[in-house]
Amino acid sequence: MKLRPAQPLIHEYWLYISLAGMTNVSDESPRIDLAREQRFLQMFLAHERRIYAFILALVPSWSDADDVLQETSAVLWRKLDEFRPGTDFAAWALSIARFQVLNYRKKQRQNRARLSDRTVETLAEHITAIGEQSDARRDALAQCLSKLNRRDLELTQLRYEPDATTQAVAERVGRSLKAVYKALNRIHSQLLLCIRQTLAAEAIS
Amino acid sequence: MSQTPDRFAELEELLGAAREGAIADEQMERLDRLLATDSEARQFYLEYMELCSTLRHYQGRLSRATDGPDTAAPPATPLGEAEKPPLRSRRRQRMNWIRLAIAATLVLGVGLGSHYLSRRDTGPALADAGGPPFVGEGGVAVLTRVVGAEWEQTDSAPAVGSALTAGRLKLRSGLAQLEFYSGATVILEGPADFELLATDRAFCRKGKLRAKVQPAARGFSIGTPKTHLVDVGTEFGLSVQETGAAEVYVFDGKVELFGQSANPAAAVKQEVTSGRGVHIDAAGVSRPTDSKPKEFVGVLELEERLAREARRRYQAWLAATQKLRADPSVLVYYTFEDQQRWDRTLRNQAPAQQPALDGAIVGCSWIDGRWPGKGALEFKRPSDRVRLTVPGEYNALTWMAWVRVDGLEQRYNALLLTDGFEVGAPHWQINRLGQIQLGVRHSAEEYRFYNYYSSVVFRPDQLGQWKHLVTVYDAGEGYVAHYVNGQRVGRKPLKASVTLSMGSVEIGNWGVPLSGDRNPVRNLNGRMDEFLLFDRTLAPEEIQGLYQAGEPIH
Repeated sequence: MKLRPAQPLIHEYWLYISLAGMTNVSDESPRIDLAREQRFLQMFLAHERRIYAFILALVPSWSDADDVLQETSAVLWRKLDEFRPGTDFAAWALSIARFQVLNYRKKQRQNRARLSDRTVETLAEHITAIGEQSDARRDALAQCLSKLNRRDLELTQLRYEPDATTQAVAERVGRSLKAVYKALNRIHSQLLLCIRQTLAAEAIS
Repeated sequence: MSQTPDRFAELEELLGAAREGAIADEQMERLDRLLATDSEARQFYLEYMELCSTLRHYQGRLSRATDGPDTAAPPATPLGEAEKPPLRSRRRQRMNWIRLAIAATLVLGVGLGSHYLSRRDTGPALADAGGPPFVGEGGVAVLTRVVGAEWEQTDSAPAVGSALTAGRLKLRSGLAQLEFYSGATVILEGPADFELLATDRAFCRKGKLRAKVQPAARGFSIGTPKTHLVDVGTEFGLSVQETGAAEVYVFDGKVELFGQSANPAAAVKQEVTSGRGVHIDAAGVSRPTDSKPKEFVGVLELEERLAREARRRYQAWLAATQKLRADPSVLVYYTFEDQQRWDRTLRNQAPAQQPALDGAIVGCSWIDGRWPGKGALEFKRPSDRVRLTVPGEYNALTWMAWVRVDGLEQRYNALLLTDGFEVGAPHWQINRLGQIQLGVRHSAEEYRFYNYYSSVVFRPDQLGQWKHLVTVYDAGEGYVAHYVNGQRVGRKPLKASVTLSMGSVEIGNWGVPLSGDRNPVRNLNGRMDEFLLFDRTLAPEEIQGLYQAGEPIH
């Protein structure tokens, strides 16, 4: 099967810099274990999407989630020795991500509205089931996107361009901000519905 | 809890706001309560966030070919020059939630016992929701030439090369040539009130026109207040008075003329053949007339007038360049003039005329610019570029270029990029959305940079047009401003005040991509026929003046 490269959210460049920085802390000649880095990157990038989804659900803001993801990746790298090969990397990473979320929430300004501690705990408990379906959900989403009409698909792709804002998408397609916002709400709901149906159909067959 | 669509609508609203990064405090509190107490809402929320994450991860380009483990592709050296998270809308939206609730009911089906999204009996097929077309969709004709055209709609005046959708065109004066997608060409003389109805149909309320209908476009028709013309031949002229009285003259071929009716089948038919004319008075009564073909501007005459106008504009621009050549704040000035077609050196015309600031042309071919005979370089292949080295450090810079962008195939399309992306390096480019963006790296420690965006200025229907682009960077005042065709299209405060330095740069390409960047290919698809780099800011009036001096056709 032909695969398009995934687009990780963490810049690998950033990771390299952080890793290099962390490897060079001592005055000794830097011992950069390339194989170790490569192994880590592979595992991390394989699960990055799931880790990110986990963080985003608990934070829930893109910029906060990005920060937590960066911190999480750094901690994962630092503690890599604690990870026992052959065990579940995702589970290990999520436990650290959860801790980072709590840390981040402590540092956050208190006057800013956010989810309550209790809600975050409840969410974290319930998120595992979705995370475990991650690949199936992604494949279902691919199918569902292909069922969108051309315009809705184009809107979705424009909206998730790295530089996009809904305002810019509205300008680009020549429609009002409100219309595009509404369309995006509708498309997201449609996609969720479609994913549910696809997974349910697969479960039956 | 009640299981009503209202509840779903509310959740959708909250999630929409969260998705956009614009969730208000009270909305967050409400969301928190819902998530704590309602397990269905919680499930929906978790799925929603997972969906957004995945879409973002794949940038909406997830296809079935992507199925497979995330790792199956080698880690794709993912460094994107994307600023922080995109999902932050500048405005909080006020939505009509009642209507949304209705829409939600439609999505979900009415009368579901539960809930946010439950299974429906129907398959997962998604309805094709209509909505108005995007720009560039549903065009019926293209505006190909204008001479001295003054349009009634001054703010949304159609540009040469732009696709026209069905609608009214009011030409106050001058000439405009429209090419219908069906293959009919109409030359319109102002003052005219002309309505495009479809690829093969139009309506003329007032004004004079000459239509040439190619065999492929047989059956092209034009309505007037008193008549309806169907062309079955090749060329005719039509003139419509304010009163509705009209004259038709057939230069070549045959035209069928119907009495006052929109329905040709029900109307009286009259044939007008080559060399004959008909006058229809305000009452709709027709009689033969000796029409004078010369009164209708033909393609040849339009071409001549256009050439005259182009020469005039070209000369005026040349005269205006003299001032710029003497401006000491100009570091680089490429006029793309007086160069041989085999030249591989783009000569700097700035006052200091430092040969060091000459550009090395790689790959690009010489081609016509804004006017016939005006030099320009064409950027098409990924190898096409102009290299130069700009020494020095600057607290203010202004980039200016006349560019014809033919396509935005790359995620980032280079205008002027420094090799790599060092601290203080500016990246002037157009992104796939059609925004101009100036990216400036401000920190060496990490890969840190900010992008300053314009509004969307290259929509699909605006490609292939010459545009005047100016971007101003001012570390002193602390802003970046973008201008297109003399109008400001964005002004952003600097997030970090950085002294700019460039070194080796390329026009239309990225010479030395950062290792590991996931968008290393950034070649421009289009033409450039003027480029300036000032070591100062330009005032809006000055930019407007530069635009007017170089406007392709007035």
